[in-house]
Amino acid sequence: MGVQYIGMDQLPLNCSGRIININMDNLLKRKLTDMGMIKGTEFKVEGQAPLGDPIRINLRGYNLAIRKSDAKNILVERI
Amino acid sequence: MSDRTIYSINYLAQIDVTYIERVGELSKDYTIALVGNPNCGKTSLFNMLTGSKQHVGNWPGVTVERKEGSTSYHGKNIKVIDLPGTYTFSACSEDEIIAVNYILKEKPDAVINVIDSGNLERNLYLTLQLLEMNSRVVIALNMADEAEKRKIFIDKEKLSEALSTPVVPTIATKNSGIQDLLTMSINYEHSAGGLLKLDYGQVVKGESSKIVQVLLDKGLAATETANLVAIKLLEGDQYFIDSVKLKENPDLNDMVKAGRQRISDETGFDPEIYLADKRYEFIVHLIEECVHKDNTNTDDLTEKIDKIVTNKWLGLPLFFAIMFLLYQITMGFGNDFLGGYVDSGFVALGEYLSRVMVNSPELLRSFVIDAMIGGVGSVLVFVPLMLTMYFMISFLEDSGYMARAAYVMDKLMNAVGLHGKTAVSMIISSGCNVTGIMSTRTLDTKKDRMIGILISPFVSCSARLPVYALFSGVFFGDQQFGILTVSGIVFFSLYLLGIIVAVIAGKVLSKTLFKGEKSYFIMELPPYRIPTLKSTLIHMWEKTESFIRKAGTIIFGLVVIIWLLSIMPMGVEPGSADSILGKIGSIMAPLLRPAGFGSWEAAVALIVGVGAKEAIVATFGMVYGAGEEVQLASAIQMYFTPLTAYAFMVMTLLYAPCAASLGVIRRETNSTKWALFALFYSLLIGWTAAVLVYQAGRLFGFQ
Repeated sequence: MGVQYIGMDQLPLNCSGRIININMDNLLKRKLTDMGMIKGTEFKVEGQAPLGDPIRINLRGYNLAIRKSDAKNILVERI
Repeated sequence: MSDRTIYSINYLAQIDVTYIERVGELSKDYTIALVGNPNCGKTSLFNMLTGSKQHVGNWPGVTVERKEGSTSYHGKNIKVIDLPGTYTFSACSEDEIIAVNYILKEKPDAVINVIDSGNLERNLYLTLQLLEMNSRVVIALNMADEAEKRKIFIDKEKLSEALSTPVVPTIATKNSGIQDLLTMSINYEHSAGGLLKLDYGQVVKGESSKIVQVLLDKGLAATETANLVAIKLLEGDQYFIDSVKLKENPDLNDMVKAGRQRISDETGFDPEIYLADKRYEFIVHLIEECVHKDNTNTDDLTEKIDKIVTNKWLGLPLFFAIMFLLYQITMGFGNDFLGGYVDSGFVALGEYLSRVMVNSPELLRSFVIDAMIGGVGSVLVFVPLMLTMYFMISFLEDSGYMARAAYVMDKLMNAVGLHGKTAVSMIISSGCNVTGIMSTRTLDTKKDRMIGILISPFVSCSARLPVYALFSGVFFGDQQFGILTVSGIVFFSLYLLGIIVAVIAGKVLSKTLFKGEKSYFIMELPPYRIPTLKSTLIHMWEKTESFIRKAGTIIFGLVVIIWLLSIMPMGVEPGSADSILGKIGSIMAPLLRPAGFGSWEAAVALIVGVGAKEAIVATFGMVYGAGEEVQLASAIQMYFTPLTAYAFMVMTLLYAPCAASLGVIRRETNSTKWALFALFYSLLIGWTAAVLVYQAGRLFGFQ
């Protein structure tokens, strides 16, 4: 058994990860791609909203908020 | 670090510019377009360039704001267009289509690409796409001071060389580098036909060159742009697919399809993802070359503020506290204090005119005093409130807090099928529904936006206040309930009811009409910044002005129509049961009987209220023939009971969006059908609620 892939929403706070795959409809995938979220992009989970959702990640030097229900469709590996 | 110059504003001398003194040859409508990501300081730069010489309109056919201004260069007038902030030019959203279309079709004389120095990696993505489309680009390396503070050093010469386009460091908020930027934009001699050609690898190169050949053979693209068009077609870009009419060229269509297939097969990516990946790959290399980062400290301040503002325990209380304060200051300072002056000003003006015009014909006097002063006054009385509220909202937006507000509220809102940003638009609605509806533009998906638009009118706005003040003053004024005043409780209950109805309506709409449609929350949380007074004031005025224009014309027009109906047919006592207005009221009155206020006067007031809710009180004054406040109070006491008064207030709160709101709903949804839907579904909800209040109250033995 090699590396375990998990949904982005499963990654604990203050952990870094690398994007493996984005399983979303084309429009949303395109939006994320344009914002720099591509296979191989590294990011760090830096915070969450007071009620636990959405989460805040840092990638390419900026902060992005994303709902857990969207994040779970982004397959990542922990690094 | 000698080879890395930290920002010197005297930069022009260092770059090898083929400097041509163009002042003499500048055409009359020399145009510069500004493009950039959201939150890159583009708007501040626009404000610094143009100052107060700007004009906000709409792009034809869409609801995206079109900002245009002018500046001068050696006495010549230069037009500046602020294109919508976008992350990309992939032409998926209205904003992107407008920006792409403007750059390709209107061909501005120069394009300034504003980029945030502290966020180069993502900002340069747009830059690359821009350089692929346009060769007259100057890069404004904005927020140079912020980057420096964060120990990010950018080698401008190398960056400029690599992109073969000039790079000018700027600090828009401090008005630094702006003149250099302007000089560079106007005088830099760009090499002809120099569109950026990125190396996308062998497969893309092979496929695109085949397509280029066909495009040129068929005359579908010019030599300079053929490569761009080919790449964009392979990327599946709808704008370019439409512009070459791909569907009408089956062989080209097949070739593009085959090309896309080959890219997918060879690279394992969808072509658009592959191309984006290649662009980012190029950027990462570029940054390795040109940027030196002292990674020891990142953006501390934002990190620290976010620790508090989005804290598990503090986040929500802080949000509610800020909104409460916003509302209190708007009402206390804006409405009561400043608005009071405007109001008494108009009252005095009305009295003065009625004295001066004492010998004028009755009809003319009535038109000037009742219709004109009354109409214009009822709009202008809200201006201080708007100015106060928009000052604070602009400040919160420009500081970066509003993005956090949406972030903090999203889960709570999402539980009832709404979006975090809807919380913000509902707050804005509490000042004025029209502006609340307009603020839903920031919502990305159709579902979230439509629901936001349709529920905003239920939020109690400031125009309903005079009605509450009149009725609760008359019936609940001096009563105490423990330490609370009953009229305070009445006010609060109406606000709460408005929010509850909005939330329920949102939930129902998301489960019925918009069932299954997608909603997502993907949003940049920009660094906190201290807004400049100049920008805040400009934004405050922009928003207020658009309220005055939109609401003003509609409200004024309606007040005049109502006035006409109240004096016709000729010879009747104005505003009596015999006037057209009175007759309409008599027809409608029976419908209102189940709610306890089935008089023609109440019906007329409500009909007028669809025009503008603040006109309801004035209408009661007119139809009861009570000019003074005391007379009006005793008339109200005669015709209403505490219970029917409360039912009437509930009706006023919910029964219909005002005319200005309806107009804005029609414009924002681009559909008369939705505006009518908003009117009728709220009429139904308002009537039902008022009837329920009255009937339930009677069951419990209230009067």
